[in-house]
Amino acid sequence: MGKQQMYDAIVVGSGITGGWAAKELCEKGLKTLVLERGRKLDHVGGYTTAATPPWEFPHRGRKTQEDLEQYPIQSNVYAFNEGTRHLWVKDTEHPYTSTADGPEYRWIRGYHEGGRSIMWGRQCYRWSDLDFEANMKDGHGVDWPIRYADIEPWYSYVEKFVGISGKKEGLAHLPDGEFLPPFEMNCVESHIKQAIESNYPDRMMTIGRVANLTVPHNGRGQCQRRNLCYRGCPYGAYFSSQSATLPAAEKTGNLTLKTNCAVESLVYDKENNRVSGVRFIDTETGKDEIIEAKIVFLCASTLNSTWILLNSANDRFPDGLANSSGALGKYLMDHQYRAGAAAQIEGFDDKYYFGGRPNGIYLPRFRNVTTPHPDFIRGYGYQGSASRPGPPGNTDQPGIGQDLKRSLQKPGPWSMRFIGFGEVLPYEDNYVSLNHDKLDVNGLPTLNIQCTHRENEAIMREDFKNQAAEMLETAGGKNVATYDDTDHPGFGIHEMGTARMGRDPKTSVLNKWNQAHDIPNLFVTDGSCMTSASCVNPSVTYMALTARAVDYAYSELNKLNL
Amino acid sequence: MDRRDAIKRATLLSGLALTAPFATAVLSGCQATEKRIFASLILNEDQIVTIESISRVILPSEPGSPGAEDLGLAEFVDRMVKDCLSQQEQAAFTKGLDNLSQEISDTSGSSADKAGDKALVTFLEQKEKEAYAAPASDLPFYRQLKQLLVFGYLTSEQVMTTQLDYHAIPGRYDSCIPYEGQNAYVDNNV
Repeated sequence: MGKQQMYDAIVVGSGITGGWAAKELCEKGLKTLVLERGRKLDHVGGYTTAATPPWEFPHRGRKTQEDLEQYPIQSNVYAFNEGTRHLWVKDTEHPYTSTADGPEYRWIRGYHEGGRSIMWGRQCYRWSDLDFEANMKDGHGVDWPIRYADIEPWYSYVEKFVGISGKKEGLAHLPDGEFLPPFEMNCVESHIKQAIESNYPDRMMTIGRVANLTVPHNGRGQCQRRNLCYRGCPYGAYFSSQSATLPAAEKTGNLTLKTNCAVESLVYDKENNRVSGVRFIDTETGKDEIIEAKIVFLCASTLNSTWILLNSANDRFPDGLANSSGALGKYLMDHQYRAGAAAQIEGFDDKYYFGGRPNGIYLPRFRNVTTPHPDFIRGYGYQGSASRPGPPGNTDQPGIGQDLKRSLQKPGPWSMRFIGFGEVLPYEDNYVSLNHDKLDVNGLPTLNIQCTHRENEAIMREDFKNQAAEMLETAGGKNVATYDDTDHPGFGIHEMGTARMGRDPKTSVLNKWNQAHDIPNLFVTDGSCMTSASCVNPSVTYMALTARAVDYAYSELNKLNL
Repeated sequence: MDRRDAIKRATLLSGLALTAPFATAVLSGCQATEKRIFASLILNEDQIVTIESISRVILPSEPGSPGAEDLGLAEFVDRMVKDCLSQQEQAAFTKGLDNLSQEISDTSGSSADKAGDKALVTFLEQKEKEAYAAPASDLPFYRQLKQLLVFGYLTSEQVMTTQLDYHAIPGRYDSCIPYEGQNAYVDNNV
C-alpha cells in the first residue's frame, strides 16, 4: 500500500455535490483531489448515444431479456432504455440486500464520472421554512439546524451558475430563484392551469423549474428541445458535473480527478481527532492506496457516503466513523411517487405543439401549508404534462392497410397526467447497515437497506391520487383514472438521510455546516445530510449546502481550526 | 422457384444457418431481388412466412410510402421476440403464430403465403373485430403481433423521415400551434 502526496482537500464522488465541492474548493485555491469510483466519462465525447436515432438501436430503444437479467433493479427506471443503459450500474456487479417483506428498496446508481448528474431529472425547487421547520413543529425527526435565511444566499449563488429556467410566482413555500426565461406550457396545460386556479384558491400551477438552459449561459449552449437529456447533452444545455462544475474546477489548475478509484474507508488520526486521508482501491489494478489531505468532503451519494463512514469504523468509533450519536445509517428517506391520475382532454383537436420540451408542469404543495389536514401531516406536489402522443406511442391502433397507415401518421388525442411527489417522514428504523458476510467484487461489505413507508405516506398517497383525479375532472377531463404503480422506497431516486444534520451531537451526525460533530475536518454534503425530506426535488439544495459548507471549511482552514 | 423453396434450398445447400449474402445470391439467381431474406434467430420458416404474409396486408407498400416488406418487419419481429421476450413469452408468441397460420388455412383453404390478399383482408378484418373488442388487459395475440409490427414500422428510418414530421434537432419548442392535419411530430426519443 502506497501513501501519496498531500492535497488540501479530497472530495469523494464526482456527481452533483462532488462537482460542486470540487469547483468551490479549487476556486478558493485549494489543491483538490476528486476520487470517482466509476469510469471516465468525457463531456460530449462520452455521450455515445446522444444523436442516435431510434432505428439505429437494435431493439429501437426497448429493453432486452439480458437487460432485465443484468439490471433487474436499474432497468425499472423511467430513463433506462437502449440509449441510456450504459449509464446505470449493472446490479449483478453491485449487489445489496433489501427489505425482506414488502417492496424491495430500489437503489438507483450511476458509477461513472459525473454520477447521476448525467441522468438526473433536472427539477430544481428551493425549500422553504415550511420544510426547515417541519420536524420541529410536528416532532418527527430532529430540528434542522438551519432555516431558509441561512441557505437563501447560497441558493442564489448556485442557481446563477447552474442556469435554471423557471417563472417567478411569489410563493412563500416555494421561493422564487435566479431564473432564466421559463419554458412554456402548451395549450392544454394552460387550460388546466386556468381551470385549477379559478376553482381552487389554495392551488396554482407553474412551469417546471429545471436546470435546462433556455438561453446560452456561462459559455454553455441553449437547449435544442431534443428532450434526450438522459443520454448526455452535447450542447451542455443542462447542468451536469461534466458540463459545468468540473470544467470550472479544472480551469483553476487545482483539480486532480482520478477515476476507477473506489473508496474503501477514511483514515482516522486518533491523536489529533482528524481524518488524515482516504483509503481506496484502484479498481483497474486492484491496488490499495491511501492519499492524505487536510479536509475531506464526502459526496459519494447518500448511501455510499454512509457506507464509507460505516466501513471506517475503528476502536474510537466502533459503530461507524463520526457516529458517536448512533444516528449514522438511520432515518433513511425518499420521495414516494408513481401514483396520480390521468385524463383525456377534449376540445383542443385543433391545437398542437412542436419540439421536445425537456420538462413538464409543477403544481406546488397545498396540503398542510396554511390549514392542517385532518388525516396526514406534511404534503406533496405534482409534476405532469399534457401531450398528444403520436407515434410511436400509439402502436395499439385498430385497422389495416392504407387506413391504418394514414392513422399512424397523425397525433392522438390530448391527455394530461399528474404525478404526485410526496414527503416521507424520517423513521429511525428505516436504516442501512453493512453485510460483513456478503462481500462485493472488491471484497468489501455490501449494503443492507431496510426501508418501508408507513401510514402517513399511505394516507397521503391516496389523497394525491384522488386530488389529481378531482382536479382533472374539474378541468373537464374525460376518462379520468387514478393510477398507482407500486411504491418502492428508493425509486424516487431522492434517497436522503442516514447522516443527518442537527443541532445536538447526541442525535445527529453533522452540524449546521455539514461538518461532522465528532471530527472537524470531515464534511458530508450529499443527500445523506438531510434531516427531513420535503416534497420537492432535493438536488439544488445539496448544491447550495455544498457551496456553503466549502465556504465555511475554507474560513476554518484559514483560522487553523481544522 | 418461390421464396419458400429458395430458403429451404439455401438452407440445405449451406447445411448451416442461412447467411444473408448467400441467401441474396441465391435469390438474385431466381429474380427475387426485391425479397429480403435473413437468418432467423428464433422463428421458423412457416412462422416468418405467416408474418410476412399478413404484415404485407396490414402495412402495405404504396408508391412513396414503404410497407412491411420494404422495412423488413418480419426480421424485426424475429429479433424482438428472440431478445426481448422471456422464454415463456416466446413460447406463447410462437404458439400464437402457429394458431394464426392454422386459422388462415382453415378459413381461406390455403396457407398464409398462398391465400392471396383478398382472402387475407377478409380474414384480418374479422380478426380486427374480435381483437379490438377484447379488453386491453387480456391482449389477444393478433393485437400483440400487430403492435410489434406497428412499432417496427413507426421507428424505421424510412417511415420516420418520410411519413412523419421527424426532427433530430428541433431547436425550438412551439407550445401552442394550430393543428391542421399535419403529420405527427417525432424526434430521436425512444
